[in-house]
Amino acid sequence: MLNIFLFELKYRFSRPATYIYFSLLMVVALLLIASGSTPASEKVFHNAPIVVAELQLLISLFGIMIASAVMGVPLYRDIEHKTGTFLFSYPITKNAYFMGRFWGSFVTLLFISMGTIVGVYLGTIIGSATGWTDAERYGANDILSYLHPWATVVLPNFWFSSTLFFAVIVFTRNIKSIYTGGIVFFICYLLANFLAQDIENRDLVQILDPFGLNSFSFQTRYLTPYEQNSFLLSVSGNLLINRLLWAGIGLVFFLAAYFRFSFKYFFQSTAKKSKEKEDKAPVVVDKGFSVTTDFSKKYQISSLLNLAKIEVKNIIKDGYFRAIMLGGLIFLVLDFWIGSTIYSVPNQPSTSFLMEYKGYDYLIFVFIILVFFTGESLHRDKASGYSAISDTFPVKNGVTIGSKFLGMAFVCLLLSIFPIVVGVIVQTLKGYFQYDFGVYLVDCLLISFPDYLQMVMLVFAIHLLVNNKFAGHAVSIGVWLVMIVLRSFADYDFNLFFFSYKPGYIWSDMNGLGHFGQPLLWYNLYWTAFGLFLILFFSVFYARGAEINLKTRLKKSKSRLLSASSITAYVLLIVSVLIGSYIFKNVVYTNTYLTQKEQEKRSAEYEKQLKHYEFIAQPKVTDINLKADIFPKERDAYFDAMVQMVNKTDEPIDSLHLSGQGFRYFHAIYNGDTLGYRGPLKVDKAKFKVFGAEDERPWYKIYKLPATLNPGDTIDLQLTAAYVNEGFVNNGYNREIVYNGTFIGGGLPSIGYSANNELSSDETRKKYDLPPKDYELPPHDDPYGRRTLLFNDDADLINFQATVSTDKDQIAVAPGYLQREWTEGERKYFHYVQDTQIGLFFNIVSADYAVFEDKAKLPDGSDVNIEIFHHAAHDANLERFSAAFKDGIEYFSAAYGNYQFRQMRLLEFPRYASFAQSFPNTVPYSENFGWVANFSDPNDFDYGYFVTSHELAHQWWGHQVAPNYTRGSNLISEALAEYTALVLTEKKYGKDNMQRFLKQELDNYLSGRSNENKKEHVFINCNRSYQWYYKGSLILYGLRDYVGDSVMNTALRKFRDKFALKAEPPYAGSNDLYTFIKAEVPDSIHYYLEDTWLKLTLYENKVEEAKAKKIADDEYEVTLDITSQKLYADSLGMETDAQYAGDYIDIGVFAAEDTDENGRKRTNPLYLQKHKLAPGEHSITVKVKGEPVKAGIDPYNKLIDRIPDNNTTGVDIED
Amino acid sequence: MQLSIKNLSKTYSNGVQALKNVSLTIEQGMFGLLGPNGAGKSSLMRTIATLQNADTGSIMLDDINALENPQAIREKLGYLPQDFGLYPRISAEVMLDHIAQMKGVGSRNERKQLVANLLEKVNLYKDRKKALGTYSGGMRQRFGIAQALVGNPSLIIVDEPTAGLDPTERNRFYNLLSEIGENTIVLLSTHIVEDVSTLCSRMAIICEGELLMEGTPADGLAVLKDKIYSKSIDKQELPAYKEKYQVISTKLKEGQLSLRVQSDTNPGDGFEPATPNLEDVYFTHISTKIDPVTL
Repeated sequence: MLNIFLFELKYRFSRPATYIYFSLLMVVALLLIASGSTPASEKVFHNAPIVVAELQLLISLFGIMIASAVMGVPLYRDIEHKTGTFLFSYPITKNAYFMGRFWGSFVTLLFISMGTIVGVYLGTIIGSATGWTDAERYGANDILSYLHPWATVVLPNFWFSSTLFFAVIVFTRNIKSIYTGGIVFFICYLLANFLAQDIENRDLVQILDPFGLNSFSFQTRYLTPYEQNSFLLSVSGNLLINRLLWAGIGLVFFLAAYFRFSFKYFFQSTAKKSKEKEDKAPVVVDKGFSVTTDFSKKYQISSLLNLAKIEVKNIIKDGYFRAIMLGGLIFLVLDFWIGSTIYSVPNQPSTSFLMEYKGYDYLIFVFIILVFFTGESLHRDKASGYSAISDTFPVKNGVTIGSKFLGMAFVCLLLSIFPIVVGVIVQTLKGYFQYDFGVYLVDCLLISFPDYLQMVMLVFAIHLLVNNKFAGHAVSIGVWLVMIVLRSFADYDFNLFFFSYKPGYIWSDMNGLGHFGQPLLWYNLYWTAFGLFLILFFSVFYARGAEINLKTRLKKSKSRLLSASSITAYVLLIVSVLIGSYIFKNVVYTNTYLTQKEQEKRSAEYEKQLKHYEFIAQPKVTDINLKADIFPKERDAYFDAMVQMVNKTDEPIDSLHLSGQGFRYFHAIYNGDTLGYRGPLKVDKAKFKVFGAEDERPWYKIYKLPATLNPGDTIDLQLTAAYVNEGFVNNGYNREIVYNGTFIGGGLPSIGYSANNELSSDETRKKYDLPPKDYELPPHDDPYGRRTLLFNDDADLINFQATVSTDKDQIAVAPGYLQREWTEGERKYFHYVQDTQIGLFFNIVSADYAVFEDKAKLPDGSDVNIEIFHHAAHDANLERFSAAFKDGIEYFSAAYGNYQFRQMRLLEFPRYASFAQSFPNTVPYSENFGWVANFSDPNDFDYGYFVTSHELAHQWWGHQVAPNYTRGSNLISEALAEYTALVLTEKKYGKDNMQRFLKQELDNYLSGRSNENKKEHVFINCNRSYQWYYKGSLILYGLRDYVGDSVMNTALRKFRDKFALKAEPPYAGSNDLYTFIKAEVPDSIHYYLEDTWLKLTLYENKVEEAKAKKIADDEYEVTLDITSQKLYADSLGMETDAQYAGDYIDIGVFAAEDTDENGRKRTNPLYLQKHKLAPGEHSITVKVKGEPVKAGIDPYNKLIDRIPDNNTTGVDIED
Repeated sequence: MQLSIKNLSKTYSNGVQALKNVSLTIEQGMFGLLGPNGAGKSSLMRTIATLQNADTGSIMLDDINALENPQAIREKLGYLPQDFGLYPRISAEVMLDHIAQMKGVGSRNERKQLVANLLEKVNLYKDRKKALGTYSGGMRQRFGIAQALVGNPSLIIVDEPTAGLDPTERNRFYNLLSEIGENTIVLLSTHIVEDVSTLCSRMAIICEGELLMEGTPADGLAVLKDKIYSKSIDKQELPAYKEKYQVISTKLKEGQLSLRVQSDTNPGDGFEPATPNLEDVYFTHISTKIDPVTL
């Protein structure tokens, strides 16, 4: 055995393949680490233990391919070279042979896996030594952080895949079955990932994932930067089960293979005995072979079809094709069935949504099929030996090549049509009958089909050139890998240079394919022409006949360079270059394409050149009378506004700074004269404008005012501006003005320098010699900050009116009350007046709307008109939106003070963006954020109601109380809106229904801080959305649990009364809100307020065990063993145990869940009390009436808990 | 109709010279090409079948130059290569129909009849629906024969057609070939002398790329008339005999070695005169190149 083992090792280590695999892993790891292309956030080292572990894990995933090559061949080698039969005669035992071959190969594989480790290590050294990546981004190299994940992750993964592949070979004796093994493996993996999308299934997913990737990311999901730098994978819990399970399954494979294996079985001749009987009858002489043959032109054409037909037969009869296809269809059905969910709530299976889902998993299967079978198809005749016959047929080379392509084209067509069939079936089964065949046909046949064809074209050309099946596969996959790496790691995104790439697009029920049709058409023409060129050009390398070496192929190809097909190829090349030039002109010249680097550099230049203007004295806007003309079909909009400005500073102002990035043009006009200006911002010319570039239009302009504006002076200016969409862009939705569903926030240039345009990443800032940026905003007591508004520093409160025009068939809306609407020719006009003052924060919307109307009543009895402007077909959830408006206007007015307007409007816009935004009495709300959601399950979280409430709440928090320009002030807007919306939703749906939402909020907060690139600030200084939305709602909801509704409402009411609709500074900051809340909260809870607002506080609460004893009829004594510990974290996430006497924490015991009268799940607490718990272990005994089922500490996750999943456990009832 | 090969030479890129200045003229009828393994038979046939080029020389089928106009040859060709494969997942019937179309049989009806007829002739009719991947070696060889006959080829090249066939099937094959009209050139390569003696009116012997003999079998036999002698000896004596006589073949018979030598006069020494057969013709020729007598 040792001999065979050593022989195997010696053989392997004499093969270049071993070293190629090793270096492959090494080079990939080295490049990723040295170039700093790791997932590490900015405070995490590129060689942090977590990065090293994750990289090894990911590479071990791709290493499965290598495992199949290494583990698949050793036994098969003996079959293939027919050496197996000799082995009978040698004095070796089965045991020695099997074990020697297996362990020899396995050790080789382990050696190869070390490539990653070596690569990472060298990467850290080379990366910092060459300055490729800042040396600060690498930490110390600790041997344990390399070997530990190798032993716990890589080794078990390779063990499992090795035994799988080995067993597959033993059982099937067919090298091709390795593919099947790989595919099954791959499908398992995708399934696990698929299920992992929904956080409800996490336990199952963690155990089922054979690579342990999901268990790994689950364990590491909330680690803070500090913890990521000092991480050691803990093999316990689900990960331990996962590892044991899959290593065990590996052992089963190994043993099964061992017992199945025998020389006799394994090496028996594969030829089957002929079973036919002897035919005794003499051959009848029959002259029936004579037929008519015809080799005219018609022959070549019918041969083309015939060959294509048999090619298709060959492919669709292939078991591997069917296996992969089946996998693809399974995922297609799953993706179509579930789609994308929000808070686990699915959408209606609208055709335009389905077309997006087919790009999720199905596309991967399509890619595999096309890459793999294009190669198979081209090499089929050579590989099967049939070419010895078929090459002598009088068909032209072009016919043979053409037929292979035609066959694959047919496969592409099949693959494009499947989603239509599956889609219609899924829609029918779900009872959704609005099949949109126009969408199906355009997306599947005009967008996907050419896309698939282009894939085939490139792979086809590669195989023609390479002329070796495996090398061809490798090169094809390699080409795509390079493209993906360049795009995702190196930030290259110029589609014209990436084969078959096109601008991203999205279907919308409102806007159809919209403006994406044009670029898709041009790009598809471009790539199809280029792809056909590739095939025709490289077909000169097509090898026919017995003699195929490079020399003869080159010789033959030279003679074909001027053949008809080559000339067609050149013509196609010219065509693709012409189309490409047209695209280039549109993308680079008409729409000034900038690389990611250029955009970065421009942001840096903006800051460097203009930062000194940040706080200069500028006038404030007090009055806007806007004229806006929307041209939806042309995707243009023109603005013309009379704007009044006042110098509210105590210095004279002689120049006006206007900034309007994104406008085609803008001008300031005084008394009919266009004002002169200078553009101080100098930028480099766009790199891609290689054919010369004019200076770009300045977008930061400094106007000399006609007269110096002294303190208190007023000036009336006319501002004109235009949004013009011409041609098309490289990427991005450019969603503001579309055919149906225009939504423009603003429309006028803004005043002065804005710090929002600065680079935010400290690492990027360092590259451009900019100082780190710890805070975006000035401190709480900063005078400029206190007198300036967060959302717009151009104004305090303003008077606003707007006249908006649009196409005749659309409705255009702006904030304010509709005064008049009229039609002039093909245009429709709407005049809106806002008769009370608002912040400078307005929007324009225009679409072909249906309008749903309702009314809400204020406490004083006056009416508020509710209008919902929606796409006519999207009427399923209107009642939910309108209920939120009605309930909210009523409750918020009572609790916090009257609603300030007489109307409230919700307006749907296409799903190119997924958000809703609250303008004064006007809320644009994205198409895919609830309009088509299917809330049929009563346990669903009604996020339509919640989000609408949130936006409504902004009318108080944001519009009535406008936050100032200091640290953390945005929590006044977002945290209060999120909290008050949560309270409203809880009133409607009950506490239990909020659990799913709160779970998501906690998950979002913990993941958010774990990916923090800078420092996590305490709540009062919050500067990230994960803080002001998710942490905000959690800690305020938690506070309400301690102090009750009325205390909260009193505090908020007083706060609101102090700051509501203030026309003069100072404005409210987060510290003001804190002061108001603190004033109302009893002293005993101040610790909680300080923990949540002024510190970073987390809990580790856990129930170890819960037991119950029946003490009387229906009465139980429940004993809980729990531990509790509060932690304080620093800004990088280093957590230390807090010292404290005791905190108030819920202890709960629950009976079985049941269903309430609305069909919702209901928890039934038998006991729920706050206990003052000191840090450490506790044993708590409580008596309850009713049978306890579940018990725990902080069972509703009201506190921010590091591991929220272990707070409750089942109760063991002892007799 | 006439196939004329002139001064054909071919050297492979690995340095092996497969054909050395071969010239042959082949008339209609059955032509046998005899030679040991590696003699260059397959190279010659592949070259005629347009699968590879020659370095020098020419191949003319009447006035068609095969090397310059392979397409024209292909239209007239039926070819059974020595090594070939088929689409494993396609049935014999569909495959043969497909091949018939490739060979220019445009009419669907004609194809259908032809396919049935041919499959019947090679005794595969009852297996016509089976996928070719399930065929045994012999069945595949018979399918190969059937496809070579599709579409009225006027030039049929069959490379080792009887390899893998059992005696019954070989007989069936002989019958089938003999049915093919006299208007066809059939070039058959084999290393089995019996194939040639049964079927061929003309033959050639080729070894190490050189043409050693061309003519009718009778021509070959005539040359050896009264020149073959045989004797049974002990195995150990062979080297001594090889020194002394021109040994052309040996055969083991009941423990004794039956020796055949070529000699213009009776060598005595216990040798008996023997009637020359085609095997003797073959061995006398190739023994000039290689030593066929080994133990």
